[in-house]
Amino acid sequence: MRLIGKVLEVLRKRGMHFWFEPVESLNLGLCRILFFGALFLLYLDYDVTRWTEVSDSLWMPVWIFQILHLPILSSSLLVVLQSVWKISLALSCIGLFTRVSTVSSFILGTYLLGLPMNFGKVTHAEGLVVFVVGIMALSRCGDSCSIDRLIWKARQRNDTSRQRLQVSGEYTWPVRAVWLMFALIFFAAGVSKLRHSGLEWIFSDNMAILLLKAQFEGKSAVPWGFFLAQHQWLTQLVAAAAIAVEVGYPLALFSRRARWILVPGAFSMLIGINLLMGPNFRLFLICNLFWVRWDCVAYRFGRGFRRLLSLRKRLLTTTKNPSKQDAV
Amino acid sequence: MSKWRILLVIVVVLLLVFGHLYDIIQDREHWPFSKYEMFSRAQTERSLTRMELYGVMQEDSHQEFPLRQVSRGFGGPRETQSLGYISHSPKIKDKERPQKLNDALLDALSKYESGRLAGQHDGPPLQGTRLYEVTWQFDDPAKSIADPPDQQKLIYEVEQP
Repeated sequence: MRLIGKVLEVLRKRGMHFWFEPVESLNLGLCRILFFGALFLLYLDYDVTRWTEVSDSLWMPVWIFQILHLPILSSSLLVVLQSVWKISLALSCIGLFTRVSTVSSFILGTYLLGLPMNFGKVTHAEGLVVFVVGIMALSRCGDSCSIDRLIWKARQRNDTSRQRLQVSGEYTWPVRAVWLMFALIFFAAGVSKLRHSGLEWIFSDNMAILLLKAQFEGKSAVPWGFFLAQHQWLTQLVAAAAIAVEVGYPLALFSRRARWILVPGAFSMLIGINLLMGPNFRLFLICNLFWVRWDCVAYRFGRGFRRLLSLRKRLLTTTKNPSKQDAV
Repeated sequence: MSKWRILLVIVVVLLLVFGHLYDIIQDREHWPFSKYEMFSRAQTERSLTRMELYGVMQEDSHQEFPLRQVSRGFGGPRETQSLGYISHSPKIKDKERPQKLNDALLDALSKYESGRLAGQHDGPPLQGTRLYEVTWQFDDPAKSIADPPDQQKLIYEVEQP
């Protein structure tokens, strides 16, 4: 009993460390800027008003629209909602009224991104975006690199003790939650393949036929499908690697070594699928930014930038003062 | 972090995990949760079968042609998969299916005609649209989707009201 208690205590501590390890707010703030900035640019031309022209009988609501009784709104109302949503994405990016803007990005985004799913075809990348925006809306992602923060600092000008950089678990769990989403998604995709097709998915002509189909339909960006399909061992190797990456992806949550293999592996796989088979995984690729330690990138970049500045300064002083140059 | 915040995060994380696990185990789809079954069915036949919308010309010959040949607004994956879903999904009741197909084809017809009148494509005026399930065999490397299909099965057709 005591052993079980100890094991549970160790697991609890590890879990708490994984989810709530105290870190600075910079990484989450940079993730917020990049994520919402990319979404804003990607969805700048997004328009769901054409769905209002589709016949009512083709309306086959998905679960969330069904239980919340969400209707398809009029075209003019959708134009307003879309505009508010895009403004919310932009405000979330710059960190102005961050809590309100991220929450409205989440609520409006769920409706606007979910709307096209109610006509018979469900795509998955939008689902991931809805979850990630929801996670950000719940987080304190506006605590760094935001206009809200600048305003707050200006108000606290006299109180220096409150301006000190804070570390908190609040800045860890949102990033880890996005990691978890990736793990669940890839694991589900791998399990689905094994459940529906078993090992036949790997040890058959499956991958070769998929490549041929994509090339036949003109979906592939590079004309390698016919070539690859002629080499059965190669297509089976690709299929085996895909299943291994997908089923093994949850390991990336716990092992740093596995992370270095699985995350770039899955990223490359998505690009490979896009090039050879057509489906576009832009949203998945964007969400991958949560795997990068942007605070470390910023420190390194900042250090390099500071070095460049000091070098420039030194050069300027030496050219202005030749006697000093001689001394150097 | 306060205890309430930690509790809230734990609840959210559990919701995400169990929502996905439920869909994975039940093999069902509750968007935005999903079982992510893309490409999960092993392909066994070296052929391509898909749904294809054809237009029937108003001229005397009543010739038919795939709508994607004249307008890029047709033949996309969302259209072909939605039409496949309406035609074959067991989730749609048999008595509702003809109505849905009818509406889908009339929608396509009106989209084509409004695009034609707006000058978005230079296709001929249509008398109606037909939905086919078409199949190409991969027996010739020179063959492409631009070639006529090897098999064609009429699923539904509508005429201009």
